[in-house]
Amino acid sequence: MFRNLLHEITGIGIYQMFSLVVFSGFFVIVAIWLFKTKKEYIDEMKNKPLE
Amino acid sequence: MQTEKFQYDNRIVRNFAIATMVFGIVGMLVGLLIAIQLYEPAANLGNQYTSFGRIRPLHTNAIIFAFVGNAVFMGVYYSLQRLCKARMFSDLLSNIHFWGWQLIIVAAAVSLPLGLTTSKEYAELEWPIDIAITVIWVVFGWNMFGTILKRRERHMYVAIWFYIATFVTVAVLHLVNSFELPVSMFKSYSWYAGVQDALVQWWYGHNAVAFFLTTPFLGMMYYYLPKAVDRPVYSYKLSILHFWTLIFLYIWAGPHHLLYSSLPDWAQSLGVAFSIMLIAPSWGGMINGLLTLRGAWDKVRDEPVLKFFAVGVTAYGMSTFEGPMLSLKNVNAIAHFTDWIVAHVHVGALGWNGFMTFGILYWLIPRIYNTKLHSKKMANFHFWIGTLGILFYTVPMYWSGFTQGLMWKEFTEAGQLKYEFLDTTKQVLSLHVLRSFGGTLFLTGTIVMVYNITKTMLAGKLIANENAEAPALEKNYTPTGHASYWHKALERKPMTFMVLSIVVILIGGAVEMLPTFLIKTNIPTITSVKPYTPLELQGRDLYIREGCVGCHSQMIRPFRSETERYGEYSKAGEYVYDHPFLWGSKRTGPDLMREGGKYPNSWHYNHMIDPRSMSPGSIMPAYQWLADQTLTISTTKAKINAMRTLGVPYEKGYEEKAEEDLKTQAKSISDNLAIEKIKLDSDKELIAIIAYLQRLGTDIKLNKPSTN
Repeated sequence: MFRNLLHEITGIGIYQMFSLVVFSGFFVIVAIWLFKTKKEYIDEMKNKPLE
Repeated sequence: MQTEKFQYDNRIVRNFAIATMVFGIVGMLVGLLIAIQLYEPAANLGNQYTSFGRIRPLHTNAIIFAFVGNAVFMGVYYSLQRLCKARMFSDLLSNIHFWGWQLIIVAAAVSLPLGLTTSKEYAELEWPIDIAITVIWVVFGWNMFGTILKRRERHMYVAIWFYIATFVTVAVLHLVNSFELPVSMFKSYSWYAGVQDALVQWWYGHNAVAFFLTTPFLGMMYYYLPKAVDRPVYSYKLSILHFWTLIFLYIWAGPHHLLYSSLPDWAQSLGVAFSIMLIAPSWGGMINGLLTLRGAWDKVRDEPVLKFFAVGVTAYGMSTFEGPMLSLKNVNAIAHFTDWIVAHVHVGALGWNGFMTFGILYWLIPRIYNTKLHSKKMANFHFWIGTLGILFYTVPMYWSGFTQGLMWKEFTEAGQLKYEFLDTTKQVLSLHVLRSFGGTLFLTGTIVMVYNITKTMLAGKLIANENAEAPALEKNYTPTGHASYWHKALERKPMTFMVLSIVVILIGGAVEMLPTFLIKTNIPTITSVKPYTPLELQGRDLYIREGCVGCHSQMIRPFRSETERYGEYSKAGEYVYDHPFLWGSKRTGPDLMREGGKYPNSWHYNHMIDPRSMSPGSIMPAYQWLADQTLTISTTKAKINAMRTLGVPYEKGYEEKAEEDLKTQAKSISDNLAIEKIKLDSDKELIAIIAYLQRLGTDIKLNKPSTN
């Protein structure tokens, strides 16, 4: 029954793929920033609560 | 650069701390009372205002919004000021926030026992209180952003990001889930029906756990843990990754609360996939927290604050591992509707929220009172009795959950269900006794803490306004060198940051919900499914008032063990007129989806007056007041009109006839009872409840269930 229901929504199959791609893309972007972030900045931020 | 002098507001932190302790005790006491009611129904006190169905939401609301909510505000107001090197934006807003929130709590404590509820879990409060929550939440956000904007610190530390995400997401969740049509001053109907209502509710429910119970505490973990151990967080990079991936993923996982239900398969699969992925950021956060303690475990040995944090963070790790496991369909098939879920949420509530809150209170109060903790020994005692309490609570509940899940599914060799529902109820009674013992231990620890903290407060003196100084921010700041990377730029712009957080959470929300909203036009209508009669509608509202949904599901999953026990599995098309949906999340009693026609009216009458006369050993409370109280029928017209506005196809002008129809149907039930020598006037509430129960699931009824 649900399969029929789904078929009635056009292009539903794309949703699962879309969500995975969006997340992977998002993850890669965040990872790239982190990779490029300088250590002195990280150290500065890290110590904020202890100031 | 010129140094500016200013003062931190500690009074508001103290006020929230007191509210945290007071409502912690209240919430836990109510929890203990309902725990006892589950093996000793007489603990209902024979009173409708203290009956399980009505005060179970009082317990959950008191713990989530009163205890944990006040703890969050306490933690945020203290740390935000320090991280921004600024006093809170406005003392007036701080006070409106504080008193407004406490008023909302009092309104909840009054309205829930009165049976004024929407029945949607953790969103039970009726529409006037929903509006008040919105207003106060905006006050909180305004005050927070005002503070962030006037900060004397260029970059926002990661804790603040978690606070911002908390604010924006809770706002979005609350607004979307509280969409309801008022019928009267204290009654409303959910805008959504059936499958859609369920999806919105569990998108809300799941993310309320995420953004009310988790993200603010992660923010606090990133502030208070380094403070207490006096060293920076293990990895700041990991905390950035933790933040963005966590808020991105969490929002998608809601449908795992609806596995095997009438929710479309693809939405269920999406929920499972994202739930599994959630382990990564959650454990990243836990590891980051625990590794902050590396090389300082000797301090953990002598410092109760760190003990609480260590166990709290570990409990976070355990429940965020267990959550994804529970979302696997094969595990969920056994765990759903059982005490396993109760155990799971209490690892989070007692361990993560409870212990983190206790740790912060022990750390913070002596500081703002400029004194030492009254007794470290007592705090250590609290830690051990609290830990024992968690164990005595959760272990019996896990055991009970496995027992229920397996017994419900067991067949004899002849292919019949091996146990009746009541057999499982009786089987787990002793485990429920043990659970309430665990709760008592935990509560005892909390009372000891309140004593200890009160003594500390009395010994010191509140530094209501704490002096501080910091250089003002340069007005025309031009980033150079490493500061030009765009995440750093983002951290300088709180508003852009907020917008980006909203975008991130909305992506998941939209992909998850949009198709299901399209279903509205695509849903296969079942021609035999008709709107409720006026009497059934009134009965349904009484079912909501009494909180029956707290113990009874209306969702038969497509398993043989369920269709044999309860009848034909539930179809999405059967719920199209259900505003709100009443699928339930727990089977303390049996499913009622196809209860209609299973027993005669007289059985229901006797069962409501004295459940044990019909089902020996049942733990259901008696509902004798339903036989005494007269049904309010003056609301019928307004209810029919409201339902029509929401799309239920009552004929035009039917509202004028509805009351007459209601009386006719009521009289037929009363007459039917009279045949069995039961005298019950047709204007009593019990008649309406019987009408509703007898209607349940009768629109389509293919298989006749064998037994309950």
